[in-house]
Amino acid sequence: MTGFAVMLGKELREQWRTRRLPIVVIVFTIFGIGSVVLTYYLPDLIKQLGTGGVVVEIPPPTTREAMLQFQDNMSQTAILAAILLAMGSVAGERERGIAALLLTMPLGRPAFLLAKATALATTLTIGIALAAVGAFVYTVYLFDAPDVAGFALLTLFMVVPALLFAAVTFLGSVVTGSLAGAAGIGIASLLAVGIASLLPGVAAWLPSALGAPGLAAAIGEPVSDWQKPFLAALVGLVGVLILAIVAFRRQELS
Amino acid sequence: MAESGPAIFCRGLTKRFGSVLALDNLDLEVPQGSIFGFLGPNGAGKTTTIRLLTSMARPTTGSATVDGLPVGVGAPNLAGRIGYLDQDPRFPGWMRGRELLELTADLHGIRGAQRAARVTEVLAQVGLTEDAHRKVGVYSGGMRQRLGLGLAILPRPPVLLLDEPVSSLDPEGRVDILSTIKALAPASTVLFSSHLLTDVERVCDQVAILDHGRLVTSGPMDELLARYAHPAYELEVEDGEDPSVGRLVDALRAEPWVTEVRQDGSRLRVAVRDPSQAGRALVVVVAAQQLALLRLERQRPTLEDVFLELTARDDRGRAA
Repeated sequence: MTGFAVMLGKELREQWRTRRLPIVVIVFTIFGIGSVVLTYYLPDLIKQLGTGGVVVEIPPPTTREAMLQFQDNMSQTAILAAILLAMGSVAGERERGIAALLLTMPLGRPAFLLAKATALATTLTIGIALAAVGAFVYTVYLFDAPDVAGFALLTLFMVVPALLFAAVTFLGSVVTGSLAGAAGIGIASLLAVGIASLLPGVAAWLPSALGAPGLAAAIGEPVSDWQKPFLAALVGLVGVLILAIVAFRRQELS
Repeated sequence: MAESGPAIFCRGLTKRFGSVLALDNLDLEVPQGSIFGFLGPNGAGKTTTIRLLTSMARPTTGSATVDGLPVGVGAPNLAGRIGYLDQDPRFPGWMRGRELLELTADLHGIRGAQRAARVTEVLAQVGLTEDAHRKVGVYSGGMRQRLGLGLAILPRPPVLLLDEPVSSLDPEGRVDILSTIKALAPASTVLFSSHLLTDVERVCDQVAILDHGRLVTSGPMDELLARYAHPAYELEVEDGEDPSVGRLVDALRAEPWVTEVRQDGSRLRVAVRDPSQAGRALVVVVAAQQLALLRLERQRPTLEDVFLELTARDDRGRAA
């Protein structure tokens, strides 16, 4: 792939120099650590708020609840960030004519797209991974330590869906050539997955089905039923990227 | 570089955007090593042609080759064979000027000490040495145009496609950059698109004129001047005698050896059929109107004359 390594270097520097990577890391880490801390202090917060004379017995939170809170918050944050980051990655450079400039140099169109996708995936993965490390440290400090390998699996099960939604938005960015169009496609895919998850036969193949096995892994319980949604997400990710490349190869550039 | 044949070759190249015919059956040959002026008013189809030649756009019909390779979206990558400068170049604002040149060098496989030397050389050529460390986002339009030219020439490509390369520059910068462009030939073939006739006249040896998407004419500059630019005299009479100047214009237009008279106050430009006869007769006509002649000068035919003559003829042809 002509020019991939050079273009990837440029894209990674761009992630850093435009502050995208530091901002994603900071925001994700706040959400990651905050989820665990909030779980720990939730009973105290409810007591402080008062219950109007009614006595509410809240059992002390456990590692399971901390992991569940982390998983819920982080998954949503990561997917929304993935859509926001991906929507302008191609459309923005096309609108400004930067894509046309670079593509008159020895840089293939597939290399151009894959470098952008790889840099985007790197930012998201680093952000989620560092947030996970923060959440893990606080969980060890405030609760019982989660299973290390299981926690890594939980993190992986959050990374893959985020990358899938990033790829779908990325495809939208290529096909529509506009920020709004890309965002629309990203959000529409999120809604579509939400609706499809209500269908019994389909739900087991959707990224949302990775939640339960991820949580089970983190708290050391047996992990099952992860293969279908995991493989479906990977196949979807690769398929969407191939579609983006095919579409981009045929497009005229302004 | 292709050893024989034109550097750029277009046959029946046509581009339509919906109902708008942006380029109409263009046949063009740009000789290797030439600086080829691609002239036309705004909307003539110059940028469309360049976009087709860079493989950014797909022709509706027709074909083209650049340095012997076919162009078009999905065609083999021309990269490395062309340098391209957009009419309004834009770059990633977070990068510094030097970094962009280094990125270009990296993409062209120019590495190490050779890269550093070439980047420094190009920065000096385009007059950006002092500003190389600044972020491109704060560059002015003229600086972006200089940087864009630097990116285009850095790999020393056999063909350069420059779309309005000096339109944002001040007069001094324009002279500098035109000299730089002139020095690129014959190692590179330069297609120089512009609507500024004086710039084209200064650097180009071959010219094509495009109007309303159609090629009006093309050929060596000297030939076009000889074929289309009528010999002309410029004369100036005493100010403050407008009615008399008006009578002089009428009298000149009545002369069989005059082809056109253009008036700008007390100055007249008189295009003639026979310059020798005109040289003798002009003074007599002026004297007959009892006007004092301040200046009479034989004018060198200019590209502007050719351009106005041909585009006006084209307009008349379309109107008929």
